[in-house]
Amino acid sequence: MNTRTRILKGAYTLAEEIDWEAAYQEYLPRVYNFFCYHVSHELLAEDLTALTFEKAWRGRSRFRRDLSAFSTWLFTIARNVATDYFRRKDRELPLESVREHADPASLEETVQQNQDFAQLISVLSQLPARERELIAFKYGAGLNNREIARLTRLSESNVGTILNRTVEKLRMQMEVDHER
Amino acid sequence: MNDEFLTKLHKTPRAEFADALYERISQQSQPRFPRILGQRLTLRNSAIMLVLIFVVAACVYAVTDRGWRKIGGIWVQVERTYKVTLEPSIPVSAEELEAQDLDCVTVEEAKEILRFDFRVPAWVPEGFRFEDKICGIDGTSDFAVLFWAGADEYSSIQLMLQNLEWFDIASQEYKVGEPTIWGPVGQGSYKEVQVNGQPAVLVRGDWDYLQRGFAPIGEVPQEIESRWDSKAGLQLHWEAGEVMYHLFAWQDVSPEDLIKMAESAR
Repeated sequence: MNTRTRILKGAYTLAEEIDWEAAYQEYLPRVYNFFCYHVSHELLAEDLTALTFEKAWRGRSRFRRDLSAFSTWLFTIARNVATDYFRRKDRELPLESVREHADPASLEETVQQNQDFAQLISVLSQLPARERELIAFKYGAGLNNREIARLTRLSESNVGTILNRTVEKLRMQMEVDHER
Repeated sequence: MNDEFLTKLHKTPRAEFADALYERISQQSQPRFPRILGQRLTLRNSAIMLVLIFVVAACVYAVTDRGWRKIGGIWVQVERTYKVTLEPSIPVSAEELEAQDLDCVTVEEAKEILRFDFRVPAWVPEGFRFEDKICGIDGTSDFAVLFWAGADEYSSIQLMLQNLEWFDIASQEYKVGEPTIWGPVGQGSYKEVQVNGQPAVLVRGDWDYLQRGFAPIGEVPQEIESRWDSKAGLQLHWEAGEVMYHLFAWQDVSPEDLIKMAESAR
């Protein structure tokens, strides 16, 4: 072959592979909420969301619809970003730290508007890493148990069992906190 | 399951964040040859780390007297010497090694993750044991490394898989890179052979910087001029299914066995 490249038969165009604008609209809130639930810090969730989409954008040519769903591909990247964050920084900002670093005006507004959310992320931050990740996938990203099982390499029934147990634990903790 | 309290608290990303991010990534162009050199070195050194139990990073560049040959449809870069910058070794703790192990998956799992398909040799020379794990990959990886351990830490076989397919953003088409062997080789070290009737390149030897070790921990990078050592193992390079296979054997493997191993990857 004389040329330096050859074109695949039946090659897809980018537009057929990923409608990026539509994907961005659909998945930005899901990825963002995945990180909100996972790292319990909204500003940090923005940073990790940005990193995820930047990686996905740079690697978009490597996505092939026939090998995996776009959501699986994107959340694999998100999971790697989260893993890298926890591994490299070895820290997760607890709610107390967030409060210390937030400016008073925005904190007051946030607490007033999102008291329940603040309570939730406080409770989430106390979960073990694996349970918090499953909760983040299920309720932050809106993935079903099968998709979560594929991403985490747990069995689907195992995912369901852990989620049931964790949700019950969270609900009881929320009730206890609410009564205080 | 009463989980409404978990679903009703979704946050909406701030509009200014969403808009700024979209604008930023939309302006980023995609590399036409995505990180080929960097991934090559990282993965290769990762495999070496499995043998030598420490991490190295080597930056390699060729001297100017380079020449390209096309052997059986496969590009071969021939050099007389090879300048190598050896980075200092990085001390690795047991915890870090364990953490890196978490990133390893089995071959079957890797086939589900990677976006290219590949075949694993069914036959290996006697005395080698297949380690059924591939480390450090995700759905965006264009490289993967398989490893067979030999009788001792200096005897091993390594198969590097390289996806030749890439997306040309300018023409909006998938393209396949020309088959090229893994890095330059010494003069007179290569010849054309056949793997399952298809052309392949057999290379005798390797650059001697691998035997000369690495800069000690904490020292500054060292630049050395590496020479070709024709007794430093064997390499076999061939293409199948738009995937480039690079098979490396260090010690205890004959050319016939290496080709037989390659032909068993069907």
